[in-house]
Amino acid sequence: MKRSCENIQKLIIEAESGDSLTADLYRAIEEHVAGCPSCQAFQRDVVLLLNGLKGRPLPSLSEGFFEEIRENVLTAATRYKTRRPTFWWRIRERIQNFFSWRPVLAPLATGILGILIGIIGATAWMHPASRISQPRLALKQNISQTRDSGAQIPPSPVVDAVPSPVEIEEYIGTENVLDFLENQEAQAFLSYWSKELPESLLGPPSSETG
Amino acid sequence: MEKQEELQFIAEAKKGRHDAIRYLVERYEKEIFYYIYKMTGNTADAKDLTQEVFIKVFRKIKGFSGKSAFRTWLYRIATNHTLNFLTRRPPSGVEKPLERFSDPSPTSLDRVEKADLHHFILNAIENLPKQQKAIVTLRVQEGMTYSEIAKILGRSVGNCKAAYHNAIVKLRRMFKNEAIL
Repeated sequence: MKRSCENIQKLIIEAESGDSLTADLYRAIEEHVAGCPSCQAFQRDVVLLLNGLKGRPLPSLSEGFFEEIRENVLTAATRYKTRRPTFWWRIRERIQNFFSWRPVLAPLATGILGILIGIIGATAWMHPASRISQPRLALKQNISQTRDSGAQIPPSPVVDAVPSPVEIEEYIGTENVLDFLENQEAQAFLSYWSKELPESLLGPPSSETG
Repeated sequence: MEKQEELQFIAEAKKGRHDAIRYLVERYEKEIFYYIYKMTGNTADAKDLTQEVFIKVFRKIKGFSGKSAFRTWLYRIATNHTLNFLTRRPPSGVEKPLERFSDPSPTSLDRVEKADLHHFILNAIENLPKQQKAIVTLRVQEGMTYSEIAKILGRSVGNCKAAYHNAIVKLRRMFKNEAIL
């Protein structure tokens, strides 16, 4: 199988870096390099480069250089041993350890938390109770205010704050409007709004009025 | 046998025994110092970082479970600590080697050329992305296998191999641009 230059160059890096390749791969490199001047140059460069990297000189250090490092480490170790870590220090250390060794867990946990919040939010939004709670609350408050004030028919500012039956119908659907009509506390409003309610929502006329 | 002995010293170091700590520092200080030096290119920084790494190691040694070799664990701490340092450091910390290194070249001209080449190598490595720099140092200069490097850096073997290839190609390009190769 004829290999591309890119493929051979990868193999050259592996071979020159000391990775063990199969005899077939070594032969493939040799055969390709023999007939390809650019891969030949690549091989020569890689050899020079790796030799240059391996032969990097080390700094000349003063006498007692490593002893100094050792003593500093031991002094710090003694200080650490004698000083009992505080509670908050230990908590901080644990948090640091957790996040430094588990870089994947933090985004994962954030993702899971985000998904959970999304699910809870979507469920709450889709549930009819969440959409009727505001008008019902406003209605209840206005009923209480009206009753406490002793007025028989809600004064206009209060009535303005209460959603109209049409709005209520839009918000909570016909079934909930009927529930609402059965509510004892809503009777004061019912009499006020009865002119505006559609007949279908009021149900069959009672025998007393008929 | 040597591994058993090392495990005993680690157990003692966990109890805070100074002799054990001294033994472990003595055993690995040079290796870690030179590794950090190759990453930072600066003796003073490498010295400070080596001390900090060992202090960190002995603070965390109770958490060393022995799943990986102690050396691998030590290199992992040294690599993370050095990479964090390199992120914070402005990119101009490489020493000019001529004054600092003892290079036993036969002639002074040869010596200057070699020193310049090595300085260029340091600078070229300095310009690599941090992870690639760590991989090249660990692979070429520390002679580690890809599986050891993968454990140290917390990456897959394939990922390390690909990063190493990219780094070598990038270094070759840099050297070509400077007409060194």
